Amino acid sequence: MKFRQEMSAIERSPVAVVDDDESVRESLPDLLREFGFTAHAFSSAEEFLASDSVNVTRCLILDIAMAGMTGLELQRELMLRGHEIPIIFITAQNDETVRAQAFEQGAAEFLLKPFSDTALLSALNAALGTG
Amino acid sequence: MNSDTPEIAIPSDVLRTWQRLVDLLANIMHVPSAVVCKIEPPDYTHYTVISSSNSIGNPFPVDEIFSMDIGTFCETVIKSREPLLVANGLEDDQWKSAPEMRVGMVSYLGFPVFWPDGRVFGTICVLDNKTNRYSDMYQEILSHCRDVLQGDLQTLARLSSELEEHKAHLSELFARVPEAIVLADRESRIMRVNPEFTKIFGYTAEEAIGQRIQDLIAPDDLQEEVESFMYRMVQTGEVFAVETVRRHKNGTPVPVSLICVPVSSNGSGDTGYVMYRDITETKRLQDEQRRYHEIQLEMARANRIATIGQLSASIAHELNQPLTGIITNCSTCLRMLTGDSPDLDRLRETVRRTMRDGNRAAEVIARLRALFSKKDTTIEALDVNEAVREVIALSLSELQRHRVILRPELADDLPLVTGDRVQLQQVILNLLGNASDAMSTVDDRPRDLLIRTEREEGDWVRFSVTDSGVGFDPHVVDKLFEAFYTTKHDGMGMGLSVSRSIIESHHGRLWAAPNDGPGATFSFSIPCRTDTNVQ
Repeated sequence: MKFRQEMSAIERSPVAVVDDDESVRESLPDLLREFGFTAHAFSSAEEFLASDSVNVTRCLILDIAMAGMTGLELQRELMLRGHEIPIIFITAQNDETVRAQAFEQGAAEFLLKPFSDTALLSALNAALGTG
Repeated sequence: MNSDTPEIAIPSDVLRTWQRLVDLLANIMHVPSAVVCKIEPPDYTHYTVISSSNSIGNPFPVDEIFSMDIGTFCETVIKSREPLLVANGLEDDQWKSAPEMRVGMVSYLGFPVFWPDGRVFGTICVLDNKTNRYSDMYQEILSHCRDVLQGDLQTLARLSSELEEHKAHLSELFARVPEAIVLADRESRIMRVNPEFTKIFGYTAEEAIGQRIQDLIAPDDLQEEVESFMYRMVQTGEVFAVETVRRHKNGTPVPVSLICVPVSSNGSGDTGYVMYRDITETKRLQDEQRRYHEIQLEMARANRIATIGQLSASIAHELNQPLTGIITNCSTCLRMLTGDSPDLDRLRETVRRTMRDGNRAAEVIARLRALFSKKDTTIEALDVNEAVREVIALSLSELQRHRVILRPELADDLPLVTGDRVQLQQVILNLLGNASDAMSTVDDRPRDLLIRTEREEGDWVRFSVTDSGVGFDPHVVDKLFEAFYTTKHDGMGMGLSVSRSIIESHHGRLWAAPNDGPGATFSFSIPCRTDTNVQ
């Protein structure tokens, strides 16, 4: 299958989803697995930081507005800890200041919820440098 | 009686009884003349015959006037204040040249008549054309008649003093009442006005008296109204009140509340009193209140719109979350279906999640529809806890975005209240928003937000929001609820003032108190529903 062949270079790359919304945590990993990634979902930044995924994740799909540590705060925390994981932000709120800050802090992509599968795929490609 | 009180006139009915008295006296005592004389104030230089017996040979007609310096018997009695008996003046050097001798009245018995205050009123006397020693019995009869006269005078003096008192009260009322009063005749000609009339309409009493009311103070288009009022007074004799407009001397319209009081005319020609109260100020206050009410309504509307604005961000969030799930699940399904052997169990699970997210989106819409229903106000029995939960559900993500830690403590046994759910939810939303804003600069402690509902004694339901924010200066606690007072950079100062008016319209109260620790607590109490038959 042509699609699968294109993806072969990044196939099985572990991708992490951090979102406090259950719908997103349940649906997004399935789609990522359809893309051919290995996917893990976390309900908070703290949970992700405490997991092993923080060391192996090739790409992070990260919600902005979360109870406790926010997406932007996790981004800074990862930088401080020396984890250079490409981050695709996903948010339901179109806030220009937040978007600008995310890119300033080195975000790979910034997607507004809801987004299409193709938009997500291009973002992943951009993040992983496989596009 | 004080000497400065006006002289009391002797009424005609009293004069008629006195006339009978002197007629009887002349008859009983077989004398040609029995007379009542009255000394005339203010000079007391002469006296007048006011009653004189209708008997043959009586030389003194009623109204005959005698000077007080000609030496008559009565003059002597008045001056000496003593009774006088002269059996035959012709045989007495002192009396033989008295004026009475010239008209043939040679004997005299007279008593002074006194007012109750001791002043001399005049005399009562009998005169004869022959020697008359007037027996003790006659003296006693005359003395008794004198007492009858004095009794009448006492009654007259008392009535007169009462009348004077009433007149004085009426005059004082007339002069001091803060309403213009006009006494008018049946042609609506002004007979009398009080000082307030001049104040309200600008015309002095001299200018007003004799004029017709309608010519003086009615606007051109209300001339007939005045005539109809006068007609109504005459016809019905009833008191009635009307609000209308009259005209000041300078042409300005004066809104007045007028009362027409017809008087039963004793042939005096008076039709009645018309009292005018200037209601310019009342009208102005009413207009002001109406405008204030309109502004309040406008503010409530503006607040509603602002609330919608604040909420739109969280609405977008609330809707976009399930939409993300739906679109992602659909993408997954499509991709699975294009595969060679789709895993039906996984497909089924994905479709089920899609449906759940769809329902979740529908719930958000339903909540929104309930919150912003088009109805202006709907009074219903409502559960405050439920209203609070709905507001929390809608503002949760916004609160989380501000890192507010929400701690709801909703009482289980909360009775229902009666009210407008949307309005109460606006208040709750406003208080939550304020609490969140008050904590936006707090970084050294958790941004705790306690939301509590509880049943208060006396069947009240209390809702309170306790934040750990910057709090407020206790000195400005009263100002907090004033319109346009704000401590926020981007605030309009509308929220709390509108909230308070909403709570007051629910017969409740809204107040603020500083916490013992950091922050403040805003609470409202509203009475719970007394009718247990909830629809």
